[in-house]
Amino acid sequence: MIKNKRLPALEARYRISTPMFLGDASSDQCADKIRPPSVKGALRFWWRALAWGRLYTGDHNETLKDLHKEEGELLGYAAGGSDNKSENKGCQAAFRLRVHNDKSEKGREILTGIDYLLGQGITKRNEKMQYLASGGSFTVSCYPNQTMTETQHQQLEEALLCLGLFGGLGARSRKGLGSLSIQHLTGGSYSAPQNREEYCSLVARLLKNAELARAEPPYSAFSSLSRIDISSVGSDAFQLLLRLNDELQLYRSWGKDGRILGQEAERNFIEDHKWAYQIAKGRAPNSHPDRIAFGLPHNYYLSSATDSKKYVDVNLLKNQGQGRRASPLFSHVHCFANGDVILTQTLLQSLFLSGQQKLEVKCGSKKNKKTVCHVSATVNWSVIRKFMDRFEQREVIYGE
Amino acid sequence: MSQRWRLIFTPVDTWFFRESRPHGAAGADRLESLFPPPVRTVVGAIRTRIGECLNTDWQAFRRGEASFEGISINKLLGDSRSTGELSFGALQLFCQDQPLYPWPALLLEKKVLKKREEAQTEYVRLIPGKPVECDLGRVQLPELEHVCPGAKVPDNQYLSLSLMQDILKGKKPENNSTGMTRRDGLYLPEPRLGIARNANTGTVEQGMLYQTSHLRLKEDVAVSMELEGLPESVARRLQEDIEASPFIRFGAEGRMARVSIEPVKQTALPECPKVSGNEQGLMLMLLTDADFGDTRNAPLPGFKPVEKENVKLWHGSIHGLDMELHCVMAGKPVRRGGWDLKKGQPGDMKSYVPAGSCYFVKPLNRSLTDLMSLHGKTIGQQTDWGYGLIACGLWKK
Repeated sequence: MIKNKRLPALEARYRISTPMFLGDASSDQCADKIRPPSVKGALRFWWRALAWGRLYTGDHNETLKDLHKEEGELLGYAAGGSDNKSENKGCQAAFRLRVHNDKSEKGREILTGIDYLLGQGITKRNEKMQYLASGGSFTVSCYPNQTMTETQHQQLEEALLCLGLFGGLGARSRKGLGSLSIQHLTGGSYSAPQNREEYCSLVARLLKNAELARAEPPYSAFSSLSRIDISSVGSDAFQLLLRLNDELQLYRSWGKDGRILGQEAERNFIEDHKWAYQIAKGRAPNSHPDRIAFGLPHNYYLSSATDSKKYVDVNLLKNQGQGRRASPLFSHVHCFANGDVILTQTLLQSLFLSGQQKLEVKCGSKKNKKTVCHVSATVNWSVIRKFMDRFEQREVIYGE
Repeated sequence: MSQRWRLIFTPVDTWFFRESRPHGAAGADRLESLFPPPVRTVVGAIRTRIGECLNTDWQAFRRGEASFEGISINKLLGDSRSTGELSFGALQLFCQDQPLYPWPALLLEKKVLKKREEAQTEYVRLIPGKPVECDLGRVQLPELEHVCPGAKVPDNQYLSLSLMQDILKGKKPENNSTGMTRRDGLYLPEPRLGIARNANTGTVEQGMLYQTSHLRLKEDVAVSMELEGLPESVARRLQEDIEASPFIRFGAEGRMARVSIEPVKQTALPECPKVSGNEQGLMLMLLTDADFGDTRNAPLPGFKPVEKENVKLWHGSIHGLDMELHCVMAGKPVRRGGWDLKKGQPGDMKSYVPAGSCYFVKPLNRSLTDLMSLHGKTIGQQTDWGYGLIACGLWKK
């Protein structure tokens, strides 16, 4: 018997809005083109972000179980065992993913003006490392299998949209680098936004279920605690990236001799500064810096401390995790087909550290740091909200 | 004559066509992928798809009892030794919808790297040389048209249709000419690391790692194969099935391909050159790998050595046309194995004469024009699998 006709293929065309630091399969050099595994991973992330609100029952564990099952049925998951005893048999995704690349150019010049966003890791490598230049495009095609339901089809479409509305690919994608702007979307019930108004109404439509989750999700997901801002508008994506770089640096940095970026340092986090010097002096306060809200590790270089105590690192206690907590703030530069560009910032407020996880504070010289204390994390989310508030052109399009 | 169909395969993600050696081979670091895909892999994928679209009961197939609407599926699809009622054409590579042809063994390339300038490329042809005494006897070995130190047959390079036609006409590419497709123009290798997993605990087994090198094909690179002998009802069903679900398992490591099917209007064969009278013979070039069986006594199947004017030659016939073989230019044999799906075990390993090999022949009791009818014909064994496709070229005086 001939199989039934399947659901239509979803095709999403993305534009690379900002330079993308995406590694290739050997990960030590810049990718020549966008690979399906990179896109699949990002789709999985945004599907999860949307699914929490839809599946939330009030019980985290039950919701996570449902989520795992649905995720596996749509995006596939590894088998739990071939012994026929495990409930988790593993399965393939309900669609085939294909990426059609346009000829993409690689950037070679060192990007100036966004050092704070790039961070030291990439800035150092940037001298040798190439990146995929902004302006390139690629198309993601998702061909549904026979097993895919209409509901799954819509969920996949929404994940494709989220990737092109809030997300990106590659290193520092939460800092606005490698932003992807969705240009066209066919095969489903949505269409790609062509201007700011359409963007806002599409976000409201996509996140209609997120309000249902009123507690902090256990992972980065949309909930009633999330917030999305259009922070700035313009006509040049890189200029918006520069603006983001400067605002973040002005907001967070202590500065040198009271100055930063040619102006007086704001010194918004005096207590953090004092805390770090207390650590360097051998004291062990039962607290942590406020700025850990932007993610871990959170490190200090104390110019006035003695040589053996210049470095203070705050990170996850090693035996309790991977030593990293990514930023819950997603910056994204979105280019519309008409040339307008917006800077959006998405705060996915969620459980910062799970269970009994603690922070480990270390102090010492660059190569020899010793543990000073372990502290529990109590995150002050207003630190990030205040940062979002400092953009004069801001418009809060979701949340408060 | 039944309708001829072309199936075109393009990658969904990476492809991997495992070379014929085990993961644990001594001294092996990682398994490389073959390219183009082995013929048996492609034929196997097509036959499996045909079987699937006929809702074949594979257990019944193993017993030789599978059928569909009065058609014996076993007779239709064959097994590891036969293609049944089906006949497959050459495995053809395409890049940007243009066919690519194997590099002829008679064409050598020399690259000269100059500082601050792009590499200069020079081409030189091999011709049948003067007889020399060697372990084969007094035979005509290939020699260069002119001295060109450092020239060699490049690996994994392909020619465009127009260059291929020039070669068949007895010409050679202009120095620095375009139309050659190098390996990196078709695909990039992508190394992968695999683990062994404990099925009971779902954890990684210590020290059990393996490496493979997949192929990430460039945009617009495709592989096609022609197929003949499909009953009309099966062909219609296959078309509908592919239209409904255009994906197919292709090669090793669970890789996928997107497949399409179309009726063949024109075979992608280079044009047969015209005899002008300025030729001393013919050059037969293999466009696909060929199975000539045991070639220890004669380079072509059925040929017998003869002594003529104190030179060792070979006499024989292809498709009833008698000819005299003077000189052979062939690459290293290619070894191909595969997987026998019916038996559930590796297929027999065999050596094949590589595509691009050239044979210089003169007609016996025939005109050159008569021999030109061999253009597009197949020789050797397993021709129903697409092995042994030849193109005729001119051997100029």
